[in-house]
Amino acid sequence: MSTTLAAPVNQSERIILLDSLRGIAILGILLMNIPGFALPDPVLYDPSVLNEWGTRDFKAWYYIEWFMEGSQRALFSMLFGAGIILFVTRQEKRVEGLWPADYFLRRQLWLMVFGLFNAFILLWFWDILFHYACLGMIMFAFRRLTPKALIVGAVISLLLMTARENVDAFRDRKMIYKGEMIAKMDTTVTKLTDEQKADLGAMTEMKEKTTPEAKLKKMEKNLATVRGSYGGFYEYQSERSFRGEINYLYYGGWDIFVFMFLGMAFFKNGVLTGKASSKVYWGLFIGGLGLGLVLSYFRLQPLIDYKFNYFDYTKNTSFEFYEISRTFRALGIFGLIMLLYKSGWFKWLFALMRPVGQMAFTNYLMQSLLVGLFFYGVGFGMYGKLTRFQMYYVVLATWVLEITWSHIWLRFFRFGPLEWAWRSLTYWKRQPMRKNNPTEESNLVV
Amino acid sequence: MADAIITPGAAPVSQQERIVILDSLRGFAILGILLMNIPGFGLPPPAGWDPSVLNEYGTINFSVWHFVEWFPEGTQRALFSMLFGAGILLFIGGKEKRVDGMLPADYFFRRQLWLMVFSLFDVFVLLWWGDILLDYACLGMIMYSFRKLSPKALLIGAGLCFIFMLARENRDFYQDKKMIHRGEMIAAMDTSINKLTDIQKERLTAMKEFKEKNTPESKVKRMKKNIAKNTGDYETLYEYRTDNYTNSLVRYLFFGVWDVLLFMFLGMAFFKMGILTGQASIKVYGGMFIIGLGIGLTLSYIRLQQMVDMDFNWYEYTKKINFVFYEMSRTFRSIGILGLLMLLYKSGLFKWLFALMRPVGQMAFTNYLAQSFLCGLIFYGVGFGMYGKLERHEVYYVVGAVWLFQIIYSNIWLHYFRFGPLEWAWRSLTYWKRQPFRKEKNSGTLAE
Repeated sequence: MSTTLAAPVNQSERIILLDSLRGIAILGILLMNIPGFALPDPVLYDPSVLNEWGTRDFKAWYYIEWFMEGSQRALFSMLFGAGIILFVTRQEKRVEGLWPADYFLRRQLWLMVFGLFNAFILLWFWDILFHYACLGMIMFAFRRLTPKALIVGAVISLLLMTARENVDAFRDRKMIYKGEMIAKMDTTVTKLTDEQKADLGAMTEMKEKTTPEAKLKKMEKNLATVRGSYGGFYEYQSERSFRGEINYLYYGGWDIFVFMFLGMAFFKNGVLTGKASSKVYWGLFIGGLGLGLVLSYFRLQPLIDYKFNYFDYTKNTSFEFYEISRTFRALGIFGLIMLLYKSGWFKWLFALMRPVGQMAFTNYLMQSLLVGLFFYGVGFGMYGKLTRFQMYYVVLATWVLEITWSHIWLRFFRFGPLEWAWRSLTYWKRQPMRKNNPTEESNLVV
Repeated sequence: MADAIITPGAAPVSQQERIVILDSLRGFAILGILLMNIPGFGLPPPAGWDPSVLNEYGTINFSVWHFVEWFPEGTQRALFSMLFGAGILLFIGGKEKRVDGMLPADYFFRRQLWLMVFSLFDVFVLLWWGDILLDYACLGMIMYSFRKLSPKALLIGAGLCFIFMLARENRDFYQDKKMIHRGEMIAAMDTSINKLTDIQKERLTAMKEFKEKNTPESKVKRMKKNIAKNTGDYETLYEYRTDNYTNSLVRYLFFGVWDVLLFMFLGMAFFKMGILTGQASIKVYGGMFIIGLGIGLTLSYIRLQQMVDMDFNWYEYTKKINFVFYEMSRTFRSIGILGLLMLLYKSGLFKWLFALMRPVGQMAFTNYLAQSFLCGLIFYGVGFGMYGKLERHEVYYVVGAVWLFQIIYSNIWLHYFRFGPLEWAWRSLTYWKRQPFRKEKNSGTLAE
């Protein structure tokens, strides 16, 4: 933290805690993303394919899914929501008229370009920048609401997301039900109509897809493609990216809105900036994790009971509550992090995370590049060669690397390299890069 | 410019300021768009866009199909996008003078978000899967950033969108071509010697599926299925049409982004250059008309001829055609039609027509949603269930009737009210303040 003294005005103005939180989130997110880099589809979300039962691989899967999953993405969305308010308020002090909105929107549009770069050049199919770019523009309109109204917004988004989940699951259940009714019919007496045949076909296809053999087959195809030539890999991976960008934007919009709303609300009432009382954070921690982990347990148990057979799972599960479980867990983990902060014992940790968070954008894209290079066939081709447990060593190595370079880089430079590029593009003016360089100072947009 | 019908003396400031010609153009576009949308309401896919399914060759139905596809298709959507682009400039421009700080931007974004809500209503309540309001709501937010560019820069933006769209079209097309080529290579292999790998089998199936889908029998089958779904109960109808929408939304919003942005850019550029507001010279409009329609209609003719030659078999079409230029044909035709409309306007002979269209355009938003409602009522099973019962030329009688109806009620309504009912609701929601509605009461709460 000693660098704050030498730093220019714009840095001391930054709300330090938010940077540290962003640092934690950007490293944490790799825990959930690494299967997408390292493991073949469907192994990445299904430990039954390679029969991981009872091993430390299974434990790793279970722990991540039960506890962490979705919480870092949530933290990141909260910080993005808060960031919108911060950015626009700061601009409003600096420039007149509609300029704050203009800079904000340019920033979002460049983020969209970076998101597409991440998805279609770095080929990261779970890219989230594109979604933040699109949905951030919508959130702009809500930035002046009261914390209470923002929380109402978050609750509505949560309800809509839960409705969305359940409508989709209900449709699948109906499809299974219809198909099974038809399968029972005595076709020697009545011939099936075309529609009945189609319904039967849809059911059988879903059933077929979730057999161990079909999963293995899918895995092998995936392995061959990702390890293979660049052309085939690109075609396959960009298709995954395309589906990721579009489907998540449409089906998962609410998933992001929940936490952007919460982030704005928490920023306004000081919860995000550590100004609330310890009671509030204890409440978030205990209430959030208490409820969230119980829900999460009940969500995973049927999956395990049905041995990850999604056909049986869908058929026999009557209510989906993934988003509810995630929301509570995310709030609980957020409460926990804030308690650590408030306790004062972890100052070193928050100081360590701060540069990582200041360079969050660079670090996020670097994960796509470095981890991608490590695993894909165009790089070192480790794809599918590590077990689920082993790939967390890669996570650890990436963390160490990112923490180290973030600290070194920000000793000499004002911004991370991509933060610098993003800023320069937003203001359409080359921003000073090196610290204490008076000749460039005049260009700095504070 | 003002006409007797519009009673300019009694109108409040906000109305006098409106650029009259833009309203009229919007009126043309909103009625014109139904020409292309009506098959989506009343004719079962794939027969809606494929006259071979019901063997319409040589009949009046075929001529109607050919005319609509050849000439106006895509142009009214384009005109509407141009007006939307210009509308962004008007909306912000008007506000920037009157209110301070960030409010204009806030109003603009609220307006776009309410438009998004209305579009979801259009899709999920009125069940119109061809809805375009969501695209305007989303892409309008992007276009906001470009409003201050010079006409030249805007034209460059349009040019880039045009190139992207052309690339997009042809890339997708080549992927299909490749799929066919691969599948056919595999089909030609001697499988008694080497067994097919899984990937080969998959490629073969993809090709066969595509081929199979394009046989006349399978088209008729799909059509029958679609008729049953659209004339059935509400649940089936809802599921079918909203699924259809989600598919087309994903396709259109992602693949067709450039298709909309292109004309929003052009609209902003033309507005700034005065072309959209009738201030350019006759020469400019004459040039647009002759070159636009000259090139556009030729391209369009060639494009349709290829389809007809292949008997609307997309499999054959994809296999044999090497370059697709739909967007090119549409862009030229749209510019040509804008030129034509402006020539009519400048000639002075059609004042009555532009005056007639003005209220229709002032209530464009109401009229667009009313089309979803009226056509739904006529065609869907929950209404009069005429879906699939009319021939292609007969659905255009419905278009004629809707036009007549909308022209009449728009002219009557705006005699008494300041805004169309949905325009009023949209405004009130945007400013979060009940807007004055009736014309007589000149209360001061009007936000502008």
